[in-house]
Amino acid sequence: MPLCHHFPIDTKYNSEEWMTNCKNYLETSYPPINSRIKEIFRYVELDPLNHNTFSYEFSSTLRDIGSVFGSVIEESLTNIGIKPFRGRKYDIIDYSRFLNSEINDLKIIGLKIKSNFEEKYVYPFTGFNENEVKSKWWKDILILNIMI
Amino acid sequence: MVERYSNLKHHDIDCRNQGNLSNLIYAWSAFILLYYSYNSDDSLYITPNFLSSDTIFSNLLNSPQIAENRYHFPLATFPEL
Repeated sequence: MPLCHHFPIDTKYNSEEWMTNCKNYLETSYPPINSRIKEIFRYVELDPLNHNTFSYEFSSTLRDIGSVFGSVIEESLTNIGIKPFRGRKYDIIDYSRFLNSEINDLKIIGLKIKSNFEEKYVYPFTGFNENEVKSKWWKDILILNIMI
Repeated sequence: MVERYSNLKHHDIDCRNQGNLSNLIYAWSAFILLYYSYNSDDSLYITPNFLSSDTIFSNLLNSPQIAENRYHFPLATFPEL
C-alpha cells in the first residue's frame, strides 16, 4: 500500500491571498508546536506502555494542534466559498469533505515513525469519511475545547 | 484565583480522558501532514534542524513514494498505535 501520495493543496490555490495567510499561519505555528512535542518526549518515552499516559501538557498541546488545524481549514473553506455542510458553523465533516476533495487517497496518507528497534505508521485520516468522521483523536480534541 | 482553580479541576478531567499520548501522536501526525500539504515548496521546509537533531525525531520518512515527491516527514517512535 502506498504510504503517501502527492498532495499539495497550495499549488492549486497558490495565487490566492488566503493561501498565503494559511501558509504563514502554519509556519508560525509549526515551530512552537514541534518544540513542545520534542520537550514532551524528553520525559515520556514513545512506547506502547505509555499509550494512555496523560498530562496537562499533552492536553494543552493537543488542543493547540486542533486549533491550528481547524483554523487553517476553515480559512480555506471560507475563502473558497464552501458553505457548512450542516448547520451554520463548520465542523469536522466540512474538514473531512474538503481534505478528501483536495487530497487523493487521504485515508492512506500517513507518517512513518522509527525507533531504534522498529518502524510503524500513523494514518491520522483513516476515519475521515465524506459524511462521517470516525476519529477518536479529533473527537477528543473537541471535548477538550468544550471543557477547557 | 477561583477561576484558575476551576480550570485546574478541568485539567484533571481532560488529562485523564483525552490528553493522552496516543491522541497526541495522531493529532501531531495530522498537523504535520496538513503543514506539508500547504507547504509543498521545498524552500519552505523548516524541519532540517529538527530532523538532524540527536533526538528520537531524527529519522526521515523515506518511502519510495515520498522520495519521489520530495516529501520528508519527521516523526517519532510510537509502535502499535
